Amino acid sequence: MLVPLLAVLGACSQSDESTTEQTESAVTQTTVVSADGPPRLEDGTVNLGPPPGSMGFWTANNGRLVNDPNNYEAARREMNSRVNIEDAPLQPWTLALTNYRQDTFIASEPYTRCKPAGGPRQIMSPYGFEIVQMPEMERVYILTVSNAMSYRTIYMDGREHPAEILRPTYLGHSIGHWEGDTLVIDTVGFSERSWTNRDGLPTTDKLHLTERLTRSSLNDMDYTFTIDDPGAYTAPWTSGFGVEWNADQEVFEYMCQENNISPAAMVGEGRLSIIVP
Amino acid sequence: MKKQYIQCRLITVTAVLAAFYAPYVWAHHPVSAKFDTTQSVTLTGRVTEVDWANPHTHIFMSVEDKSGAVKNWAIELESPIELEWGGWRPDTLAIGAVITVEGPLARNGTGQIWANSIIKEDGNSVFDLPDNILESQLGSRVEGPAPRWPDGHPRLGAEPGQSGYWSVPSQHSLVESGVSVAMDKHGILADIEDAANVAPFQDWARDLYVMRQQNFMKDDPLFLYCIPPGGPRMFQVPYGVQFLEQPIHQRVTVLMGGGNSNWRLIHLDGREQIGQVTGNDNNPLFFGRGLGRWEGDSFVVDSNGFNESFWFSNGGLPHTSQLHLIERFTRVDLNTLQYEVTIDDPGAYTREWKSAWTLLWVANKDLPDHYCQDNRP
Repeated sequence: MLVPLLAVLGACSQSDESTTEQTESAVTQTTVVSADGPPRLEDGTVNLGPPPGSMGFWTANNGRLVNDPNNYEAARREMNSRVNIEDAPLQPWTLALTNYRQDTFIASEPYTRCKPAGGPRQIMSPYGFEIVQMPEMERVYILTVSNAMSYRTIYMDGREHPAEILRPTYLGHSIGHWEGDTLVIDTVGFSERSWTNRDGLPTTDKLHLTERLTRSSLNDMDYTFTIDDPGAYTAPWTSGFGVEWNADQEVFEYMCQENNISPAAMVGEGRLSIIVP
Repeated sequence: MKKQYIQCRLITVTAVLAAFYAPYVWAHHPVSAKFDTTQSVTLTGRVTEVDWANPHTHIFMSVEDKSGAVKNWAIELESPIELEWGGWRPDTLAIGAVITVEGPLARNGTGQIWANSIIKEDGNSVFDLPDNILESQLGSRVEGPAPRWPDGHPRLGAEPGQSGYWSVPSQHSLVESGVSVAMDKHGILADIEDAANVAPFQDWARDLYVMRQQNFMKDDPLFLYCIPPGGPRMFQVPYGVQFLEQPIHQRVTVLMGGGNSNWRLIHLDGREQIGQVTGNDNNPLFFGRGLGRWEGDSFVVDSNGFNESFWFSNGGLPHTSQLHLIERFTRVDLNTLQYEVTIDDPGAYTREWKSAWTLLWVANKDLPDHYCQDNRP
C-alpha cells in the first residue's frame, strides 16, 4: 500500500528539478535590470513578475515553515527555514498531530488529492508560481502550476476582510498593500480542509496570516510570514525562507487530477463511493 | 420556488416539453447524470450535518423507518455559491431540525437524494432559488460603449479602478450556428432524433454523442473527476471567466470562476503556452496551446495541441487531438462580449463549423471562489 502512495508523494514533491524547457524562439531581456535592486514597473513599484520581454517564475528554495528532523523528507532534503520546530510555539496537540502526519508520510495531505492551498503552501508549491500584478484593477494574483493550477486573488483596493466569512476557503480572503518595496498580504478565512504548509503542521480556521514578499534583485525574493493561530499555537510566530527566480522559463499547464493514482491508498476504499458529485 | 418537475415523466408525454421542465440548476452537470429523475420520493428526517462546500452542498439527515431503524441520508443541493447568492446560509438549517425532502434518488442505490424541495416543520421552504439565479448577479446595469485601452483596443476586462467578469452565456451547449434544436440548460436534447443536426458529425462522433446524451452525460470527466472544461466549454461554465491583459508582457491570462479555478496563458508575441512537466514534445494539453492576436476590435485566439481526456463542450460533443480552434472575442459594448468559435477537427467532423454566443458583464464583482474538488475524496 505504501509503495504506490510514496510514488504519488514523490511525484508531488519535486521541487528542485526544473524540467520545463524553452522550446519556443528565444526571448531576450530587453529591459536593463539594475544589479543593485529588483526590476520595477514604470511607476516605480517593484515588479514581482518577469521584466518585460522576458519570462520567469518563482520556486521556493526548499522552503519550510520549520526545520523538523522528524519530517518525512528530512533525510533527503535540506530544510530551509529560519525556525526550528522546537522553537515554534506549538500547542501539545499540534505537535502530536504533526508527528503523526510525518509518521504516516503525510498520507492525509489534501494537496495530494489535488486540493489547493494558500499561504505558505502556495509559495512552497513544487512546480512554482507567478505573481501577476494588475495595478489598474487594484489586484494581485498568484498563479500556481500545481496546487490545482489555480490562482489566489489579493485585493489591493483598501477593502477590509468581510465581517463574516460564510464559507472558509482553501486560499482564504487576502488583502494586500505595499510597505515600501514589500508586498504585505493579510489573509483570514482559511478552511481546515487544506493544509497551509507542506510539513503537516496544523492550522485552524482561526488562522490570521501575514505574509511579506520582498524582491531584492531579479533572482531573489524573501518570503516572511507570521502565523497568528490561537487554535494551534500558543502565540503568534514568524518564520520564512528564500524564493528564487527561474529565468527564461514559464509556468506550465499541470492537471493534478489527470492521473492521480492510488486514491484508495489516500482515502481508503470505503470512502470512494460515498459521495461522488 | 424551485420547480419540482420530473424531467423524464414529461418525456413520456411530450418530448418537447421536457426541454422546459428540467430542474433548473447551474450545476456542472444535469441532475439526471447521477439521479433517476423519472421518479421521486419524499423523506422526513432530522438534520445531522451540513456540508457547505463545492461543487454541491450536502445536508445529512437521519430518517427513521417504521421499524425504528435509522438510516443516514445525504441530500444534494446546488453549489453553496448559488445558495449564498439566493440569500441562504450554512446555518439556515439547525442541526436537529426536522425537514421533509422531495426529489429523485441516486441511480447507484446509495442513500442520496437530490432536493427538489426541502420543507421545515413550520411549513417554510428552504434553499429554493429563483430560475434566474445567475442573471441575478448582473445587478442594475449601466449601459455604454466598450471601454478601450490607450492604443484603441477594447478592454476585455474592467476599466481602471473597477472590477468585473463575464458570465451568463446566451447558449449553454455547442450547436452549429443556424441550427435550431430543443435542448435543456445542460445541452440534453429534447428529441434524440435531432442529434445528427447539432453539428456536422462523422458517424462515429454522432454515435458517441448520442450515447453520451442517452446516458445523461454521466461519464462526463468534468463531473466525475473535475477534469477541466477546455476549449469552448470554458466560455459556457456558470461561474464565468476573467481576462487579465498585460500589455507589457504581451499576454492575456484567462481565469476561470468554476472548475478548479484554473488559469491559462495566451501570448500575443507568437509564443505558445508551455505544457506539463515533460515539456512540449508529444504533450497535448487540456487547454491547448493558443496564440493570440488582435484583428480590429476582435481578440482572436488560434489553438491546437489538445488532448482527448476532456469534453470540450457542454452537451457531450466529441473532439479529437486534431482539434484546431479559432476563437474570436469581441466586446461590442460595456456589457456584451461576443464569442465566436470555429471548430476545425477532421477527426470528428466532416467539415469546419462555427458556433457563437454572448457573455454578459457582471460588474463590480470578482469571480466566485469555486473548487470542483472541494468536498470530493
